[in-house]
Amino acid sequence: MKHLKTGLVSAIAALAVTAGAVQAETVEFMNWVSAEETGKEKMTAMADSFKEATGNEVDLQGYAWGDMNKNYVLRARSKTLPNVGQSQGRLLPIIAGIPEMQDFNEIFGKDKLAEMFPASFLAAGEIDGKQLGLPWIGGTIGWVANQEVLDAAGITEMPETVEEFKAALIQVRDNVPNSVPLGLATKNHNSIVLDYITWLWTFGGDVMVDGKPAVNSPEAVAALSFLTDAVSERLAAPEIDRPDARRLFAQGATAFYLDAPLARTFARKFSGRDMEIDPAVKPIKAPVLNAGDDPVSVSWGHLIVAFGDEAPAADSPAMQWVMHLLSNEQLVGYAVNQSVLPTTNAALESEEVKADTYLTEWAAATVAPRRNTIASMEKGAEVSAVIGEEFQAAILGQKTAEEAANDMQSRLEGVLAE
Amino acid sequence: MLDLSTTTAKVVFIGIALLIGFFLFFPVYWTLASSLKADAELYQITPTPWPKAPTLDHYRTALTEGQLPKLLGNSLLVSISSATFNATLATYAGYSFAKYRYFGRKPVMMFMLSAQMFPFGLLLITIYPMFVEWNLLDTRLGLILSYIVFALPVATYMIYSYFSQVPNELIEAARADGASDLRIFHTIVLPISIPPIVTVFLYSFMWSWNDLLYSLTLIVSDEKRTVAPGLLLTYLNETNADWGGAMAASLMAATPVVLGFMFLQRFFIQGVTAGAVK
Amino acid sequence: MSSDATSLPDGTEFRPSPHARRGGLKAGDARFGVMLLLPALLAFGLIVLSPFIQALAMSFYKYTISTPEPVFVGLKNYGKLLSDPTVRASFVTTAIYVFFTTSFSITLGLAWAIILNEPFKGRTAIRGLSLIPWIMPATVSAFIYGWIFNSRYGLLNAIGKELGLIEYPVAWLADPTGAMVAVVMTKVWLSIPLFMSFFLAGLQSMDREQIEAARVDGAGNWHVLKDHIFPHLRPVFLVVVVLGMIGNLQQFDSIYAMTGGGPVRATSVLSVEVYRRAFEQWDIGMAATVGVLWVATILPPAYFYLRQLMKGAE
Repeated sequence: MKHLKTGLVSAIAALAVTAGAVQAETVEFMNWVSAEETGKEKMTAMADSFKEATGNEVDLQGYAWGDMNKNYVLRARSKTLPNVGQSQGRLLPIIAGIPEMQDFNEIFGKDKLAEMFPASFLAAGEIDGKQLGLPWIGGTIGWVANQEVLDAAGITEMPETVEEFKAALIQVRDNVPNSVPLGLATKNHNSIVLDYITWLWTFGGDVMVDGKPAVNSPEAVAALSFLTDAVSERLAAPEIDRPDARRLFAQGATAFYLDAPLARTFARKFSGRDMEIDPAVKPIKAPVLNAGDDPVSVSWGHLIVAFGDEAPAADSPAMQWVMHLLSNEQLVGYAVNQSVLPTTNAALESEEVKADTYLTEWAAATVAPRRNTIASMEKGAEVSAVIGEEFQAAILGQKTAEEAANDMQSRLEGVLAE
Repeated sequence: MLDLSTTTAKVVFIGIALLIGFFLFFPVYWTLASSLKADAELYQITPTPWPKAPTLDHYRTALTEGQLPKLLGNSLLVSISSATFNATLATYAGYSFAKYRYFGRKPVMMFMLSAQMFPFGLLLITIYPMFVEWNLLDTRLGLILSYIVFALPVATYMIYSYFSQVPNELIEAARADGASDLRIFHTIVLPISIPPIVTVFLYSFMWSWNDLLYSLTLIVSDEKRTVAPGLLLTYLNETNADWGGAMAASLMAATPVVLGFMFLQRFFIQGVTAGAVK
Repeated sequence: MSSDATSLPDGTEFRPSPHARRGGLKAGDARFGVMLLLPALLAFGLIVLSPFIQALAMSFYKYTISTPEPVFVGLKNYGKLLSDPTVRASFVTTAIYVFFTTSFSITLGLAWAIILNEPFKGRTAIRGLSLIPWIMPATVSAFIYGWIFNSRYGLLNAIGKELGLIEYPVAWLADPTGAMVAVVMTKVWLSIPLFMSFFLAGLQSMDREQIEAARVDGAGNWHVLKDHIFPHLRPVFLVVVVLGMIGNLQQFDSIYAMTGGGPVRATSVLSVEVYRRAFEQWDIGMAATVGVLWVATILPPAYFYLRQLMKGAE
């Protein structure tokens, strides 16, 4: 019965494909950019220009960011995957098991890709030797500071160590009324995880050490205590998610928070001041525990993925669309508009990108980014939920940092034991 | 029915009325007030009790960028269709349960009603692949069908308990005149049953109108998106928290339905009177 | 029905003959009855029953993101769930949520119906406006309450600070009790109109003469309520309790949109739990198991209650 059904479905799908091939083709592009206010217009323009150039249509299938992987998996199981899709870099491993995922090495050839992209970006889309994702836009998750808030608090030097960082936070709290000095994510599990691992790394710990959870190590407890204290001393607040932090930052209530380089685009929008706020948005190096340590950052990026029963030809409409997205004409404008780095060598070399001091500063502030290994674990969602819950329990004062760390450890061991 | 001639009675009555009234209406007022404030006024630590400089900006944005008219059109289309479908099925089924006796009648009815307690999220897991096979994914028809899950059983029960009270003599008299059962139902029973049918229609409508879970999952393309997921995706999501826009869009989305309900409310209450609760 | 005259919905009275029977029509036409039922039954079978049975089966399988095809594991999912304290906590959370939402919305709905049953100026308009909370999509209600409870710009904190009750803004939704209060309030708010309509309908079919007679006998407001109005509304209560409990048990949208089940797991009711296991963690087998346990818990009491309800209606 199962086979009969699958057979039937693929027969119908095959028919649909053949029927479609007669006329101009439609490329299905599943993405979240076209579902968001900040990117909708830009995305539509890219689709329009593609139609002009090739005569092929792009069907923009917009989903909420948080719904992307859910939809990929649902669609894989129902054999209705789109031709091309967008994926968050760190979440790629979750969908990597979908058999219809295509290896771009097979489509374009390894050499061509190596020529097109810097190796570090390319690595973000590689899994087990296969190039399952092509880098689209990239960067890191790093610290942003609001210069205006720092000025108002009388802070003249950017903090470099954790100690200085905390002193700066206190200064902001005491001098800027109603401020939330640190825009720490405290509400949503997925956002919490990013802040949590950044701090964990800063304190010298890691979630997994030698393949085992290590979230109750002394380093991890120290990191969690630091954050718990920050909340109880009103340097950070509960019930803050990334969008809240962005708004607080744009309105001059938050001095520091963690974000992708898109931070500037959000600041422009939420402040209502557009580019006028640009000088205030400063990418900074992550505070370090001891002077001289390497500042940490998390690698971040959006990838393009392709689906199909077999590798599409490099000149197929779907791949033409991929190349269209990565062409300088499209990519440079898109990346600068979104305040992110483009991923191709050609675009990185372009005048427009080089002239954007924010982007160059960002790149300089976040050297040697590390991969967020939690999100990409098979049980990533469960692990994130455990971390998020115990983190919340600690900062809300339901448990001490140590208790929460121990509970987190034993729950993670349980989750990962299976 | 109450005797409000004494001062104590009056005070208690008015006091409770004001309290509940405040609870019901204040959030609506606050939504309205917030929607009329510009962002600068909206995001203040101490909110202004009413908009100092009212602006329709959020409304304008919702109508243009927020695609509200499209969302609203989709929601109305889907909700009205599914409510009609549900009400029709429920009316026939309810009549059958009330007026005919056959093997398995009671267990079937009980089972249908208890099915209302099956977790909707659980059903969605299997409805999704099923719809893919039937080519119903991302279609309005699919969404309309899926809303059977929400309302059909209770709707059937409501209309059943109404029909149970329609006297058999009415029908049997017509039978004696030689009319067929189907004809009797359509020409004699239905015309006197409009209010309960409207009630069931509205009840089903509200479930579809409110739905976020199914619509978010079963509708894929932007053009077919309905109000609830549309609002969530546009205003409050991973990247955005636009409270003013959300408030304005919510009010506008609710307005046509409020008007429709005000018009149908008389039927609704009549229907409830005649039907489920006698 | 107590009186011997049946009032048809269009207002005319129909007086049954002395040997009138309640219940079904004369036999011989059962087949027609089944025919009438068929469309609904078919739709129900396809859209509700068959997915339910498939989901039921899924609870015996391991079906996660790493297993493209379900693997049979017998009762393993059940064993795992029953030993998981967070799931037990979800049952308790759900019970608390359902209890408070149902009892508050029924009490307030009844009170509001009694108020709107008294004649006063503008009553019709207020009755109409009272439906607004019900008409707002539940997601929207979550927005509204989320905004009022917002830790930074929320009205609640502003008032608290103004009155000197709190020194610093309180993050209500980050507090387990605060978050529960918020989700309960939201649901009560959006449920009152429906229940109000039901009670109002019940009140309108009351025999006014009976109350007047009681008044003549010297009964006060409380006695009229207790001895006449409440007993008259008994069947309404039965229905409303079922509808309320079903609706509250199934409530997902407003909770998910407002707290996502948090903080920690304070508002993680079963509907949220099922959703998160299925669509966030991709553990379909476990999601199905939670769902089945849910049905198993709720069905026995529901069955007896529904039987009672059925008896009342016939």
